[in-house]
Amino acid sequence: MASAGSGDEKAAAAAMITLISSDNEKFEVTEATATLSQTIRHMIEDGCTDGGVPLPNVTSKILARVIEYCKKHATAAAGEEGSSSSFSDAAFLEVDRAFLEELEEFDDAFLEVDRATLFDLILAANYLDIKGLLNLTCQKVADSVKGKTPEQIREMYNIVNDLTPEEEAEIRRETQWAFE
Amino acid sequence: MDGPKGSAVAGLYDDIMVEFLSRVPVKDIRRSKCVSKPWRDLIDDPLHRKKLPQTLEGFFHGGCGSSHGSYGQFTSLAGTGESVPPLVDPSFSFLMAKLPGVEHLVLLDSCNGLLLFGCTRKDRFGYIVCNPATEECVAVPASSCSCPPPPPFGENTDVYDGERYAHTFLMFDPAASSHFHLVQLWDNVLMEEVEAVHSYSSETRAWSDRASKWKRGEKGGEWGQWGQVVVKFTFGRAFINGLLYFIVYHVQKSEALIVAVDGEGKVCRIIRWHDKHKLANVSFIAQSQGQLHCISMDAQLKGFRIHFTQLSVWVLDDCDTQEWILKHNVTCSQLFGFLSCPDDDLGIVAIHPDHNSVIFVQRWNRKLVLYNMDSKELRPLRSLRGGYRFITPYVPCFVESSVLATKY
Repeated sequence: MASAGSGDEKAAAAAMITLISSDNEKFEVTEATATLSQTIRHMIEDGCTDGGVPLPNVTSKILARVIEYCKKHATAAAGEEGSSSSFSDAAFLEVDRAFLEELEEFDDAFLEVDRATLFDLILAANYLDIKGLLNLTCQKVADSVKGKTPEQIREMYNIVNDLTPEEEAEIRRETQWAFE
Repeated sequence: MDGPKGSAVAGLYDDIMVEFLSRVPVKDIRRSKCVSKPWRDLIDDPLHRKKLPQTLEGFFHGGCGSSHGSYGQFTSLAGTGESVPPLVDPSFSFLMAKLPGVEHLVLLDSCNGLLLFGCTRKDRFGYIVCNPATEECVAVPASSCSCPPPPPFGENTDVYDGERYAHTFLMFDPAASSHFHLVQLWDNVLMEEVEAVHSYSSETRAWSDRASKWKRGEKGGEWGQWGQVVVKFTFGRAFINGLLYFIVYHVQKSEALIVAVDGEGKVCRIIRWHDKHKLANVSFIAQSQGQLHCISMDAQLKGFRIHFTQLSVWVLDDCDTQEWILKHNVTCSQLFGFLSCPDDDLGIVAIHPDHNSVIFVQRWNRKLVLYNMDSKELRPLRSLRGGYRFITPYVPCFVESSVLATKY
């Protein structure tokens, strides 16, 4: 079996993994794409991917998006590895920069989803242990909270304030500086 | 894919909440405790604290002449300031338990959750670096047998009764490394010069002497750059991006300089106080919101005492151009209601690392107060009854570290 990210396209193409979503849809992906997920990487190492990998926590809609992300980032990773040996330093930096810019554009576009999808992507990234995707999606939620008042956060995420007025006053008194 | 009932955000598990909150600035996190009970409980949970960013919680200080040296009390920034949060034990009894025989503890410095103590043990002087939140500590021997003692901390810190002191600074950034560094300056107050620079790394567990690069009294060495100075160790210190900043005073040139050194004690930067601010004395530096902040006081001579009339807070906008931007100024009369006051009546303790406020001691009534630059309000935190010594700001760090395994 070919190892991930070897750059040997024939071998990588030969090693395909079948992922099965919670609603029983099957997705064929290369091993290089699938192993961006540490969870799947461990399954492959343990040799328990024959007959497909069932992912009962991930719907086909979300899995399709996750695979889209992994494909892009697996290609970029392979591209970077390949380019480092065949370009001079300056050319490598140029290619590297172009790759990063393209990847950034892809990530920005990738995050243009509704909140429910974003949360499902976070849960899937967490379950599948895909560091880059978890970082990307969590940062998006973190940015949505920055500079917001508790009222705005409640409104944004449909949260009911169950603190008593006394409890709320206590928090405000303790951390007065954070409210200015 | 709904999260469990009672979760902070429908659809997200607590672990994932912590995952994204760890990417939010500490000010926003603290404010969001007001969103709901699950948010408050999640943020306060000791399990999550080590993953979330922390900020200034309060100050360690203690009574003059107490058997505990310059600690023994903790003033919390929250609420009235009188309460001691359960997260720290200001008596540091865990140190005595882990390092038996330790005496004469003196708190020397603090940095991102770690504290540096000087102490004697088996009649030998040494240091202890500890984390009061995790109750971990490690002993560090003196840099050499000829190392002078630490400076005397007291209310009149400018009065020296000895000749030579070793100022030891602690450098620690848990986001960058679990290791800490100590940088030590041997200051000869009579000769008005820094005699030597030593540094300690917790990685190598060894002190090193910069003598070969320092070249005391010779041209071309680091000593020539800034060695003929007195270290203003009560004027604050800042640790930004791996560099330690402190203020020194060049007596012959009558000039204050801000020196930045790395963990090996190598001088990386010398920042001059800009000429146009010459009339204002540099009084304090600190890190706030990631930038170097400097407080200056406009002074005038009244009788035989220097009085300050105005306090200004500056931010170093660009290290390379050394351009200081005025962030805030306030007159003595706006602050206290009188036109001027003796400059040693005001002891600046800290600049809040995440908020536009300055904490200082009003020495005439021994009150620790917080001045809010945004609202221009003065808020008393605590009366320092029974006097105080060095007041150390404290930002906790809840991450356990094998670096602080008790050893001697």
